[in-house]
Amino acid sequence: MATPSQSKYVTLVSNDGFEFVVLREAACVSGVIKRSLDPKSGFAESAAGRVTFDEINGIVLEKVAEYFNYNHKNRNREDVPDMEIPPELCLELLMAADFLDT
Amino acid sequence: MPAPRLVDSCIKVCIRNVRGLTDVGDFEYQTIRPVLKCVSSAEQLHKIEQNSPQIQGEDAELWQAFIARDIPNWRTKNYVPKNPRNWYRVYCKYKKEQQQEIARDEEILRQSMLGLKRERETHVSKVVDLKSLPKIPRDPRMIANNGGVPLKGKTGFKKAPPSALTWTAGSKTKLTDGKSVLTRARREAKEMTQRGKLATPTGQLNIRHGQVKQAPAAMVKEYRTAAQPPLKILSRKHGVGGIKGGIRGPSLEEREARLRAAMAGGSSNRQTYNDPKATYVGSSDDEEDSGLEDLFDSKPKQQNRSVSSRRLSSPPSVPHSSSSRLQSASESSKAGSSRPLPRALSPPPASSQIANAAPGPKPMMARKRPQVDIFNRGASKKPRQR
Repeated sequence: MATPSQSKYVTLVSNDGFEFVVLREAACVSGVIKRSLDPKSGFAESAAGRVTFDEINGIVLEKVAEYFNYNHKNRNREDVPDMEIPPELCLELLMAADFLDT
Repeated sequence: MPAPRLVDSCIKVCIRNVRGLTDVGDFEYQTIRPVLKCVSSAEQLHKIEQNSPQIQGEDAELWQAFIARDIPNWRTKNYVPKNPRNWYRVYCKYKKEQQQEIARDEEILRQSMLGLKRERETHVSKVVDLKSLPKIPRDPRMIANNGGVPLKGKTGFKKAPPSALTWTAGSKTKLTDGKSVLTRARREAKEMTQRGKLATPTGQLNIRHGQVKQAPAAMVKEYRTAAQPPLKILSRKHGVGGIKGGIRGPSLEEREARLRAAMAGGSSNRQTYNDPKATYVGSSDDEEDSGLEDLFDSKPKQQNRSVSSRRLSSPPSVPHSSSSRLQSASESSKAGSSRPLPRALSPPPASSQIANAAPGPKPMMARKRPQVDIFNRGASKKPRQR
């Protein structure tokens, strides 16, 4: 039913109002996002194509979006170089990644 | 998946920076466990526990790992906290007991080391102050001293005078009074004597080993004999004859005449007739022969005659030394020519003594020497002979 309206991109919104538009395919690496956007589950996010994270601030979400792109870009490659993660972000990013099941 | 999961990447980064980790927020223990396992010090873990109390009680395995790492004999004690949240206190108890054990062991070790050191000190030689030792006699030649202290004020080693000439800056003896002048003069005289000596141990130049230092004894003797004055004639009569050569001829004839008379009279007379010619004194090898002759002369007249005749028969074979008074007596006519020859031979005083010792008639001795004449023994006889 919402399938035709499904856009190619999804919007990720942080708790402090930052919005990140990423490829739906890339964002679906995260199990949480994939389930929330699944039309079968019938969540509101799946209809709007917009997911809001109340626990993740803009800085960490930016890094998460970066990871989505990085992962999508290197999906078919071997020996991928590590993504750069600043040490001050690592704990929060770990928490977000754990939350997003990425 | 080609790219690693974001969670894994984050854990990797957290482990890399685990040193600065002071809290884990509101993480569940299971999520953050890989990171906490990499915490290296108990203090840091305790701080993380204080900041994030939710992990207390679940991190027993981390504490046990710390205890196993830090406490050697934890199994013998095997403490377990009543409250599982208080693993840090258990760790602290272990730590404290360990510190006590270490201190006790250190004390034991120190005591044993002190014992060793003390024992070693009993075998060590000490450096003693020189003043605490008894005095050694300062005088090596043991001059009279008072228990090691020399009686005279400053004896001991006298500084030896320099063996060679030394150039020093002037004299240090100050000429203030007469005594100092004397001292200086003495010193300078000493220096002058020292100046003449060589620096060698013998005070002489070194001489090569085989060098000739002395003339050979034979050479010395030869020179001495050469330097001696020519033989002197001790005979008085001969001296008279030597001085007045001309008188000799007639006297000889006279004597011959006497001789014949004496021959008619006795052998002893004839012998005495010979003696003026025989009184030559000197030193030569012929002395022995002449001495022998003298001894033979003591024999009767006929024997002498035969000897003389034998000698005359072979003049060349007869050495000059053998020429004797007999020869001259027999050849009375050739007295002038024969005189130099007898001069060479010289009956020594020794021969005369032998003649004296020899048993025989007195005129025989008179023949030998003028000494006999001096004694005047034959004085009574002589006028008769002559």
